Amino acid sequence: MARIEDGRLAWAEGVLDDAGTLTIVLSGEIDIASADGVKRDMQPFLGAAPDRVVFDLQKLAFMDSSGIALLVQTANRFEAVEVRNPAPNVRRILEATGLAEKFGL
Amino acid sequence: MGVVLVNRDRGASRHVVDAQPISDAQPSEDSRGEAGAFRSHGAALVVLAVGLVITIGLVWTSWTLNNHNELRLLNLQGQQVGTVLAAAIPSTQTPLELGVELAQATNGDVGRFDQFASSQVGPHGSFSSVSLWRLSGADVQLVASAGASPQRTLGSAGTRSVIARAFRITTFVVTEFKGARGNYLGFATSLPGAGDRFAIYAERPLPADKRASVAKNSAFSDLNYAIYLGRSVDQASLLATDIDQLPIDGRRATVRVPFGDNTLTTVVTARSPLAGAVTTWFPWIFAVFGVLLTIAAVWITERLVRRRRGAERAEVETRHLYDRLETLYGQQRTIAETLQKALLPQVLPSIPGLEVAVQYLPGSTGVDIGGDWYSLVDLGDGRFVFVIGDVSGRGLSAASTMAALQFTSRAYAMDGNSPAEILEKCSKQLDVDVDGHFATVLVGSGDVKRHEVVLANAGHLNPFLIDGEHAGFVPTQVGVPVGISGERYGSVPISVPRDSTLIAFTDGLVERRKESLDTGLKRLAGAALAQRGSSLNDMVSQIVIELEGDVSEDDIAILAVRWNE
Repeated sequence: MARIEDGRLAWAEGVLDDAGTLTIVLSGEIDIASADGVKRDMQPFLGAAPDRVVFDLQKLAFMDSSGIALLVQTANRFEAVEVRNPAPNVRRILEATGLAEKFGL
Repeated sequence: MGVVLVNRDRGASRHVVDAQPISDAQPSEDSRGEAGAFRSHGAALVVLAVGLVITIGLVWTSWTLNNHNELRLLNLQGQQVGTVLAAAIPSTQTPLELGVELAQATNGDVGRFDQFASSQVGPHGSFSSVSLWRLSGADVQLVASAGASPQRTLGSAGTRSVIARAFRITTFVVTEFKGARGNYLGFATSLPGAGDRFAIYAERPLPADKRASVAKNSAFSDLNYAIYLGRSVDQASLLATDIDQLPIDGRRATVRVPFGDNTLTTVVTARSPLAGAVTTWFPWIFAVFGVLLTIAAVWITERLVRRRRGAERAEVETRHLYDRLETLYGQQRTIAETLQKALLPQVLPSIPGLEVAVQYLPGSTGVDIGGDWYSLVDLGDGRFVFVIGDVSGRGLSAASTMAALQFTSRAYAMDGNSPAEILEKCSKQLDVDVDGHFATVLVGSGDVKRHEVVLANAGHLNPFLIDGEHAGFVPTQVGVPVGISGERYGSVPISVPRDSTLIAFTDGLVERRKESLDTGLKRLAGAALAQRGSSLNDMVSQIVIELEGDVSEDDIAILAVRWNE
């Protein structure tokens, strides 16, 4: 995969279905260093103006406040933002910061 | 970074502002004078010397080899000449000996002699005159003569001695003499025999100009020659030559061939290079090419040396740049840490009946500062408000957001707002979409006498409480972090009996990348409980020591309060 070769720690891929739902799959470990790259990856997908956004976090191994900021900024742009399949430690972070409810967990 | 901030450290400001141009830092090598000039051209000089030595060596070698070769070939040709001459001698010797044999056989018959002589003299003969002599006793007697008149008076003593000699020696006699019409060679030969002994004397003229050209393909064709009668090469003995300038000097070969009782000495020299013109040119070719190659090599060496110098200079400059960079980097980090320290309260208010301990550890990532903070406000009368917060991200913008939140929350606290109100009002001031940051914040307002604390939580980790009977993380109402959206926050009151300890902290203390959050929380609980007997300061120090990971990118802030009454 191209990602492994260019040494990035985290990236985002998106799928827009016919119902206007954008599913963004976040992979890797998002921290202050890798957050910008993930943000850039997400831009073209978000620019397609989906009706709802779903974050699939099953490939996400770790996320700190920069990852939370990403999710929150997306949530502020699109009314309905959901988070699915978080790993236990990621879920814990979301719960600890009081955002679990906001993202439908 | 603004130079303004550097006022505290004058030395550093001077360094940052008056940046030294790099080129002044080291003097160029060329300016160091003559010794430097040699050093800077040393390699080229060596190459030049080597090139010249090699060239001279090649030139000398090829010249010497060429010389030797020419000499060797000349000697060979000379020997060929000698062989040719030696082969020609019988043409003189044999007919004369035949004449002697005939005389011996016919006992000196004149008629037979005349017959014999007629073939030897005249236009087709090789002699100008021939005469027959008989040895009688000790005397020689002329028997007959033919051909032109002999140039040597036949009766003369000189002639007689020549004839007598011929009778004595085994080979033929050769003399040269000047006659009336030029120089002549005289030959006299005899043969041993039982009866009367006879001798033949013959004369042959030498060409007046001593010139004799040679056939094109003969052994002489590549050579100039001079033939002398005798062993020495003086003009008087010269028989024949084909050049004007005598004696022959320079490269020559001398061949001696026995000629009767005399010697023919031939000196030859080459007309043109025997080994061919090309080999003569080798020394010149080597010289020219050698010089050209040497020049090219010197030029290339100079270029390479210059390029290497340039690379070395560039390397030195680069190293200097890196050093400067490291210094500036270090300075920037110092500035950042200074700023950070300045933003955190240095002196905490002392509240009677309350023991307070705080600790802050900056994260170890590079130069960017973090956004953790704590603050404690004394409202008098044993009432206080504490705040602990963590702004997302790092760097100056996180730090300034932190500063704004810190001061804003303090102002609201001093104004008498409840913890929930403080959070709501702060949340209105921060917008993650605009500022790029949000902050988790825990606010607690406490009353020492009433043993009460009211907590409000915006996305922050719950504080740890040890109160005599139980110990555990206080379950607060966790709202969204400040800056996310304008939601309301709830409050949770807790009672804190005497000797209770409440520890608030930021996630840098308990979060490790490879671990779950709960593992870190358990670790904290264990460390805190282990220290319940210690002073608050010791407890906080020990907690930090035990929980501090090897490499913590995140800041750690911890604030603990203990009810002493």
